[in-house]
Amino acid sequence: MPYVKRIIQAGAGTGKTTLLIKEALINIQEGKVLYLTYTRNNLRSMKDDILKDKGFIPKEIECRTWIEFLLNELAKPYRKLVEIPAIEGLDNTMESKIPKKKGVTTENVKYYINRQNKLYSERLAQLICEVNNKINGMVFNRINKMYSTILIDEVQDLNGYDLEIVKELYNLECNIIIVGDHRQSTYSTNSGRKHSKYKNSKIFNFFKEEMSIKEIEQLNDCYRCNQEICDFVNPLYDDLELRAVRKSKKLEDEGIILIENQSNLLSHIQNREPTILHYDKRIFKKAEKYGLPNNLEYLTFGTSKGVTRDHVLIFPTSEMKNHAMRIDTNFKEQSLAKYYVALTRARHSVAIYIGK
Amino acid sequence: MTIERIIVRNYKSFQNLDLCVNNDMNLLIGNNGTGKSTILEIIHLALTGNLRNRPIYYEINPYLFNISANNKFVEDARRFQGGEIETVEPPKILIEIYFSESDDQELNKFRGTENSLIKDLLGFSLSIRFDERYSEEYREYLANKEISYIPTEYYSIEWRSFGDSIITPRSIPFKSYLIDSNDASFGQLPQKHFMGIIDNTLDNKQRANLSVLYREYKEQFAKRDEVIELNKILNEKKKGSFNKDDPKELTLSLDVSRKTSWESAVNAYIDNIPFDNIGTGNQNMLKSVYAVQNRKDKQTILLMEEPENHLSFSNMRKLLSRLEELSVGQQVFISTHNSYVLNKLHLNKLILLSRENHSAMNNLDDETVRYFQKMPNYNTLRFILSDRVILVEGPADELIVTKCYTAKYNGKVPLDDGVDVFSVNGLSFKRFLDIAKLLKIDTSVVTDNDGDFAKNIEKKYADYRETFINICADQNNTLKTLEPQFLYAGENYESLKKVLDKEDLTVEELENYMQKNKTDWALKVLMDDEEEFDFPGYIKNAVR
Repeated sequence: MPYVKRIIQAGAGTGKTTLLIKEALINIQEGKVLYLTYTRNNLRSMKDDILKDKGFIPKEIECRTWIEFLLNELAKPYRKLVEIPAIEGLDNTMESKIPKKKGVTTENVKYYINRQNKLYSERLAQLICEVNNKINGMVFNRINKMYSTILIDEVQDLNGYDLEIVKELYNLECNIIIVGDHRQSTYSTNSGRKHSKYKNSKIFNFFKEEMSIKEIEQLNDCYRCNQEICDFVNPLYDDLELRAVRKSKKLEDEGIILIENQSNLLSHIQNREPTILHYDKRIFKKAEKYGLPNNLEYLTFGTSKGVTRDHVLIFPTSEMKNHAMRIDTNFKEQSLAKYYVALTRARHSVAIYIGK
Repeated sequence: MTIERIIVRNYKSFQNLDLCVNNDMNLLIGNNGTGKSTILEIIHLALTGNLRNRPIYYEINPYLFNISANNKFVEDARRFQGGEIETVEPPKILIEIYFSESDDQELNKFRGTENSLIKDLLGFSLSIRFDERYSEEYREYLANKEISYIPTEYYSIEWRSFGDSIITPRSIPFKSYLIDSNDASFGQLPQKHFMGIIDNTLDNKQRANLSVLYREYKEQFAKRDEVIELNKILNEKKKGSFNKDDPKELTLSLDVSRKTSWESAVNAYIDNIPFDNIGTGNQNMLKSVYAVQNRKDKQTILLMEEPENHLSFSNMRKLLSRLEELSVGQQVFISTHNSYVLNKLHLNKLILLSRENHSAMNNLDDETVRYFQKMPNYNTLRFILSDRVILVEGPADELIVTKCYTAKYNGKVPLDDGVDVFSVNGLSFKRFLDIAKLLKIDTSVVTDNDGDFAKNIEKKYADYRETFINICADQNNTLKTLEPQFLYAGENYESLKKVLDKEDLTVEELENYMQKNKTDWALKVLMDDEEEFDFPGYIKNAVR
């Protein structure tokens, strides 16, 4: 029986969650479905969306975060065969801060665990690859027997040895759908050197170059934003061509609004009650200064990923502000990603405060 | 999907148990104290978390541990106090349940190498072990002068899949029913147990409906005119005794809160007799039948302790044929002391437990299995449980062998030394030897050569050359049976004339008489305590 193998590059608001839920619910007829994503936020919103759609989460669908899945289903079951002591948990030390031990190579168990027998989370994926090689693929053989379909969401959050694991999962005898938006890479899972050239926005090159996959699907039809927002966002990237699906123009479909001063800001907030998108907690001081009402929803650019609102109001970083004011800007990759995420949250209006 | 293997460390009588089980019927056989019930208990505990109907959390105590483990701990503690050793390892109970290979995706979550075989298999373990959080208290405990028990207060219990994730008994894809006919006698309400089984046969909707209905009935009670009237009277009576601000309304009603659920109030009736009153035999019969039929999403394991108890012979027969029917595709563990149960439910499904080791008989020849199934009254169990057996052809042989034994061992009878003399039909010798071969039972066969040693003995028993099997027969083809063998041995002619009170008979006439009165002469020989007899060599060989 041929298996479905799809890799999908999905622009913001193009309905990738809807697509994944649909696939999950169809595929439970064949057997168990595994949904994987990197962040807990994402996991929660996926679960919420299934609940909204179906009323309950069918027991055939397992939703798990990437790291938890790696630890419990890939690292633990076979640790005895490579003489790793019982694993006590994870150590989240950054790669660069992990103490270097003399003579300890990647072949050595000590490279992967600390003194309390906790696994370094940044080396977890590498360990799994090593173990799997040593025991002739038993690790992934087990996964093959557990699931009929694997869905990987937000694949741009993965890098390094994680990609090797994605590759192994892709080659299993099961259906697999991998979805991501390389422009939304606001996280990075580990900072090792492995596959660093496919980091973040280059993620889809990995599939093309390392896995020789030619066909990568593109989702450009945007169900969330109106055309005016799409038109504003598209020039941010060379390969971005979002098209709004909704044609009917409502009165409140105002697209992009630049707000220049405090009084306009207050009246806009009063009219629209937008969700505030901001960089970090310094916004709360500002809010006090401007006298903003305190019943508003605040989200950082990072946490707003996957969220849909009617109206948003962005308090931009200086780079973003320059762009909005049409001053030539050289975005750093991460802040461009955040800008792109923030701009694509709203159905009807995106306001950007460019005043002082 | 079945249980394939059970490994146990330090639990009660099992210091180390490694038991492979059959995927359908398992008949646990063994002397008292060899752990038949313990095996049922272990399976039930591992699958449900219950020990004697109570959660294991309340039941962890030093007596769960194997005596050698306890002794070693006490000894280590003593040496620790004497400064001979640095640490004392608290012992741990481990129970591992291995499943058969399966394509079931849910079951494959139990795959991994987190087991004592370190093999990639399906299953889970239960461990009762020292909880590291009590390290400090443990150190203080070790300083005590008088240590005689494992400090189980500092122990905790954990279920873990072979894939190394912590699990709960609820997530184990097996349902276990333990039907213990002995248990019914003390305390445990059979009704409650039975309702538990019934509850499991209902689906969620049926259960919810029953529960709602029950509550409605209770609520209606309070709405009846008689009850309302009664409550009014009760309130009248307290009038004047309270101030206005004191508690006011008093009403009597039935408890509709959760704790009085339908399971405890609704009773099962069998032909209009309450379940509690129908007799233990019938209760067990019903429990087994309902338990086996409960095949919902989980695979059921039926554990039965001595089903023969409390049942009349005819009812036991009924239960056994029912069990045989129901056990298709169903794993059953039965402990028994009854040969009939054993023969009827397939001799080859037997698991023999002994203090040293245990053996299975799944290699038993099909024909032999069928033979005993057709002759279910044969005392196979007695045979299996003997340390040493002498098989003889008939009652006369049995008596003479016993006599020979008594003569040799200063008046002791064979059973005094655990030697069982068995009189079986000569045709069954080979059937019993098949069993002896598999279970390594020390067996001697005392048999006539019937005039052709080469054919009747050498050829017939060619397949039984094991060191623990001893075929005893005489090579002299002219002495075909026991009677001439005994008569012509040494001076027996003279002695027999006296004992049998046949002084005037010639030796041929006496042989003729003996042939015609087989048991009679042998019995007289056995009872006699004046004459000294000589015994044929092949009989002496058997009582060696």
